[in-house]
Amino acid sequence: MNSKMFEKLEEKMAPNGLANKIFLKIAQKQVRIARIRFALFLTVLTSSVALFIPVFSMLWNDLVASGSTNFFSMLFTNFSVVMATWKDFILSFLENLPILSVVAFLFIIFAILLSLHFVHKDIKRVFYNSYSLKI
Amino acid sequence: MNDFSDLQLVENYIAGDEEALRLLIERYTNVIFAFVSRYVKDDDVAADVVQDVFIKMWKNLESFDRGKNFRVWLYSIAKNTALDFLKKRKLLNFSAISEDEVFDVEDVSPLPNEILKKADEGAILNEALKQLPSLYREILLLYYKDDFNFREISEVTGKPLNTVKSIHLRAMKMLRKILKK
Repeated sequence: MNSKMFEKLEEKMAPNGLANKIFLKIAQKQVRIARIRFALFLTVLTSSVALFIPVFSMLWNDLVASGSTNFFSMLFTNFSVVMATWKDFILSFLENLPILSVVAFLFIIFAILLSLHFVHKDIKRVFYNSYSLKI
Repeated sequence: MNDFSDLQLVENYIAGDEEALRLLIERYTNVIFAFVSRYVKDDDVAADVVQDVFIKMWKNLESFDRGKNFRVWLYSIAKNTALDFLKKRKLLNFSAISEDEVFDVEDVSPLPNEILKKADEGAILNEALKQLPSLYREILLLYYKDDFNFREISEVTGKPLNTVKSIHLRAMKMLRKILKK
């Protein structure tokens, strides 16, 4: 009975179009965030791609200088010997590895892949949504 | 998609379905506007507050605890946003309601028919509700108009469950007295 009483109570209705206005406002914010993220990760992508060749060259030179490339050639020339002493082979290989160059190279690869992901994610929102929302 | 539950819409939006967000907004705009209007009398300002509510909802959707009730969570955001607005405009009067206050409620039965007939007019009820303290009014409306249970009201208002129950009883008794006049 108490709830019946309250059914008669009229409450204010939202103005016409409020829901749509809210959705558009959020869409505009999404586009703004996407633009900032797109610009940031496009910069990271461009820089990473530009650094790829120098870092790879540095890695290759360090691999050659450290003798790590010899381990690869041993795999093809003396495979049975490598399998017989695989533990020592792996340990020696790791000891000779130019760690800093490897880390730098892996970092560049990671930066390229991550920025590609976000650029791809945001490109539609930045160019298509901006156009449809007339921002 | 209209048959989807709130939780399903939240999941769909997080998975990339923008239409799910639109549906959530459309589903709750009217009720949140009505709720915010209980705090903010001006319609234009209430609309701005409602907009802020949904923007906050959107910003926190990914971190929304799926184990919780979405409607209760949204109402909590709406209440806090409305109160923040009132605080900024220094329009909020803090009426102290002692949680330790004990109130002997003699009668918890439904209102008698004579009173109901009188209260049948929404306008009369509205005027009667205006005479109640804001928290009393809020709890009655959340319970009878918005169909929350006491536990959910406790979450929305931030008051302990027993306090909500006792305030509800007190509010009904006060409302009965006002409507008898």
